[in-house]
Amino acid sequence: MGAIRLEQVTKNFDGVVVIPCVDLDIDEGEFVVFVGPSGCGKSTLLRLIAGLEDVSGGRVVIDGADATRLPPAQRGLAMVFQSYALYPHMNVYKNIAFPLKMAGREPAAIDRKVRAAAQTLNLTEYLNYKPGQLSGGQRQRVAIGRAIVREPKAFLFDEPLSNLDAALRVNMRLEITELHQSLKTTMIYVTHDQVESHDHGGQDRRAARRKRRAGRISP
Amino acid sequence: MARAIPARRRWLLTVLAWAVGLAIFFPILWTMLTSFKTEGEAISTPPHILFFDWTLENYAEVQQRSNYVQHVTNSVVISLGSALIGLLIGVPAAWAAAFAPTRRTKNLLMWMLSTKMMPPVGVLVPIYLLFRDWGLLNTLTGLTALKMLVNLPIMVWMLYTYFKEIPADILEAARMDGARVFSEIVHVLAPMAVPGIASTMLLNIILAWNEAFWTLNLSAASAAPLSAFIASYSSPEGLFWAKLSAASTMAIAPILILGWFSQRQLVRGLTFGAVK
Repeated sequence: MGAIRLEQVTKNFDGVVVIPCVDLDIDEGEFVVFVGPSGCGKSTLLRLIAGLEDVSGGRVVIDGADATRLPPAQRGLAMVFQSYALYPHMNVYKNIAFPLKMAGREPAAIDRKVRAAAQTLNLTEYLNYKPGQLSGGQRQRVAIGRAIVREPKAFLFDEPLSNLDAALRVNMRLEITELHQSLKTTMIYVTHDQVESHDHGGQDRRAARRKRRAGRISP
Repeated sequence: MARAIPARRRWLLTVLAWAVGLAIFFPILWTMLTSFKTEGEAISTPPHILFFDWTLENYAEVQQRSNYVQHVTNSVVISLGSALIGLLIGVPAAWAAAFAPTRRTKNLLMWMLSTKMMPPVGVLVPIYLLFRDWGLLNTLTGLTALKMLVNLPIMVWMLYTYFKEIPADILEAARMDGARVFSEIVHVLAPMAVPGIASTMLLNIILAWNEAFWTLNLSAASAAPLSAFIASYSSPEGLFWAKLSAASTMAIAPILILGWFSQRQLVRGLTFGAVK
């Protein structure tokens, strides 16, 4: 579970080619980093995989099934946004519980999963806090917790550490790496930081994009 | 760096602001004062501003002659009803314009707004004929529906302007979390947009409450709201200024009170997005 294949995926915005042509195979459980300068299309590529943008051409295949026309909710993926995108009117508990509520899970099961995720991420004492009362690192962990409870086929990280200070960024990188090692779930990580892309110890592949040209994959 | 305004200039600005405020409020103040005068005092020259024989006889007569409670009830039903139904249509419309725009969205929004530039009298005859043929003349249903449609462009624009300020990635996160459009609007967008929705609703209640043109042309007794109640004091015998003022005061009092307590929301809703 979590094998993603991009077959000749292209993306245009009003005739402007943003993604010329991408073929990419991501195996189940792999940690792949998309790295490149701002504006090269790495976040766009991630959004195409997530289903937040429609492809202009090509196919997105998830676990052997064509997911090109599926909406984001039906692709079984979870995304952690650069701005965390937490629901400001919900406390931490409800933020993490939201995807389970949308999936129609039983309240008892929701409670069990939320508390387990909170414990994993050291958020248990913050469950009644609103996002506005949390630090950047805590908000990031809530965003990760919201992704974890869905038990997705793959995690998509869109520059999740960009808004954190340097020291916190180092700690969070380690946490994300440890998360990958414990969950063994496919992870696609987008960053513009070359150092960060190298620093993810154990990451399997880096896909570097130069501006508006086909990417290259390095082991 | 901001400069401190000198005390004298600040004092002058305060006096000027009060003068402008008083000038704007004066017609309402004059109406309220006239409502406590006799008919003779009301048309006396020179006019007496504060020192006259205060009386409540106009209010007593207005209460006797008209069913004030029914008119208030009609106004409340029409204003609230048109605002609520307008929100049910306006919120999804504004969501689509703000978060799922197409190349034609801007043109569509401008077209909606352009309907407000047309004088209502231009469509009075066809609307009247439609109301007559559909049995909607002098009905709360007809007036509610029409006032909702008249104010809908404003509602959609206000909500659209407010929704544009909400970060789109929060709604994208909701989609990734499995929320369909209905859940996205109900569980995420609406709670975040409560101030904007509230100020939109307040403004539209006020607009529907004060609307007189369609009310006078499409309603008679049973469905007449307060704007028709005021107009009934213009009679062939002439204008009974004191009673007219009493009726006007009774008509605008509820909405004045509502506006006073919700002024912060109203100002916020009207100016949202004006300054980044």
